[in-house]
Amino acid sequence: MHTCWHVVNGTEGLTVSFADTDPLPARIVDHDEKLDLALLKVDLERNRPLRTASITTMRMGDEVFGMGAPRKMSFSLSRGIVSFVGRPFDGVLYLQTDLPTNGGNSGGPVMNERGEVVAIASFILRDSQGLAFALPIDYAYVRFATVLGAPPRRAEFESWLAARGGKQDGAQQNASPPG
Amino acid sequence: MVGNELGNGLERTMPSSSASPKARAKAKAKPEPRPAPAEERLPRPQEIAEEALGFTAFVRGKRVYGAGILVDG
Repeated sequence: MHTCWHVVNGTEGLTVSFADTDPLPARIVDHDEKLDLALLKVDLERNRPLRTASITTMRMGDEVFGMGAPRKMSFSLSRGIVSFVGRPFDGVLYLQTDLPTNGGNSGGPVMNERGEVVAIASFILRDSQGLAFALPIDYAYVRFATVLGAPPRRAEFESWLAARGGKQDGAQQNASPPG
Repeated sequence: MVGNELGNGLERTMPSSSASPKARAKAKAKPEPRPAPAEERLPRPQEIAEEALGFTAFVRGKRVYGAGILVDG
């Protein structure tokens, strides 16, 4: 399971719940501080299909959906649009959206208009509105390839990264994980 | 002036009223519309929510909480 590192860092007694399950124990398998990304292991009896799409398919103005647990209100759906594709922070290129984002959204999926997961809700900027940033799912597959297997669409993603450079734009100091 | 020829040397692009009924009918016939490209039916937000409920998790620790995405691995 993907989630944000800041959600689980230093946490004991970690559990995950699905809409149709009780809390299940989980443990951290791997993490990446720079990407604010963690990989959890949870034993689940059945597979649940996850459809993903590369950040390379996203365009400004695309409709996006988010699901998370804002203020502990689990499994809340929200809707927004893509404000910018590839906003650089500290060398990482994020999907910028206007999705309503609160504490508890971190680690949740950001989906495109087809319902495919394209990014992981990561952080917002303090003292601002409508500035939510999500880590492209491609990063997670590349970073955890040793566990998850060969990343899908890796060549397209690397070309996309190379074309954008990933320069920092200085706004990172105002970044704030929503929780 | 003969046929479709105009006095100024231009030529009509449509048959004149003196053209035969067959020619007029041919000229009036509209081209067959191109078949519309197969449009992709996008899921409704309700369908997106239903699918997302399958792989979205509520992650909780002792003092923190957030969300997660189930992946195979």
